[in-house]
Amino acid sequence: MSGDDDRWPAFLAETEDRDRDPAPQRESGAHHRRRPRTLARATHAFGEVLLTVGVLTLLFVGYTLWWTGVETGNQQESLKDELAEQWQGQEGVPPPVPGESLAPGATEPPPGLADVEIGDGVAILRIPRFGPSYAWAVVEGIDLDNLARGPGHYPDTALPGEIGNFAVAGHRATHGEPFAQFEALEMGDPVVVETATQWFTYEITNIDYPVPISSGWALDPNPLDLGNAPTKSMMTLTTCHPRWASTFRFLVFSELVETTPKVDAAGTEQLPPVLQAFET
Amino acid sequence: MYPWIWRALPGPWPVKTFFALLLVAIVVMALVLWVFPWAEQALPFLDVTVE
Repeated sequence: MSGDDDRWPAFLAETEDRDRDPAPQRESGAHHRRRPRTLARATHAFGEVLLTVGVLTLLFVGYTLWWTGVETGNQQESLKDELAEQWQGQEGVPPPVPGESLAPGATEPPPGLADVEIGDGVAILRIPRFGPSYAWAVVEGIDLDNLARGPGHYPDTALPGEIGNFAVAGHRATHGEPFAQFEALEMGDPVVVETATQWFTYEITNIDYPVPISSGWALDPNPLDLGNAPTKSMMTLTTCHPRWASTFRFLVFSELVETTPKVDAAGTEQLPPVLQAFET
Repeated sequence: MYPWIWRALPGPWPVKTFFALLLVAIVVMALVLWVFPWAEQALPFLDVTVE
């Protein structure tokens, strides 16, 4: 052990020398020396534990605040690639009523979404209030695994544009925090959902928070008129409230107001009016 | 523990440093891949769904 000293960088060798008792002293004053040495060892061990816990904590903070966002960003890119690939062939497929905006409440499920499975991309969600770069691929499923990849569609709820309620949950803190700024939303704000062939423009009709965790009614096909059969296409977005706790929930309801085919009858691409401001 | 690990690492100190950094990298990777995602479930801000 002591023969290793010459291999050590100076600063480490020095520390170690202080820890180690020189042999002569051990023989002459063993009685007085034992105790402080045990104490020094215990202090050293305790210090190491504190240091380790401190470093682990900092790493964990870095993981939650930064790394989860990086991972979600990567997942979003692959989800968007998947969607783009899926949608490729369908771009030319005419929407149910070619060249015309559908009346709010088309009953046909958007093509390509009929058999969506957990983990698949569903649609792309845009909220113009949050700027042109706010575009989140919505994933099917609401488990933590799914939500780590982006906002998740409640599997048993309607699909975008369908009569009923397209319900989506999203993180408000960490994992890309898609719904972080929800408190800035206002009534009447547009929320745009892009599918293979159509743009669905919803308008926010209710913002409800804090509500209890057990607000399952928000997923009802007709959430704002419970007990009556749904007649409109609704969308419910859910997240936690307050932002850094999950003691309550934050709900945003919106109603489909406009359906725009991505390609019109003449074959030109079009954007919904609320997104046109972002062009050029 | 750390002095013991340092002593257990082979070679002169630049080699030791290399192995030490390698160990740190392995530990951090294991933390990020398995330990942190597990520990994270106990955090209070990941529940965003209604029941």
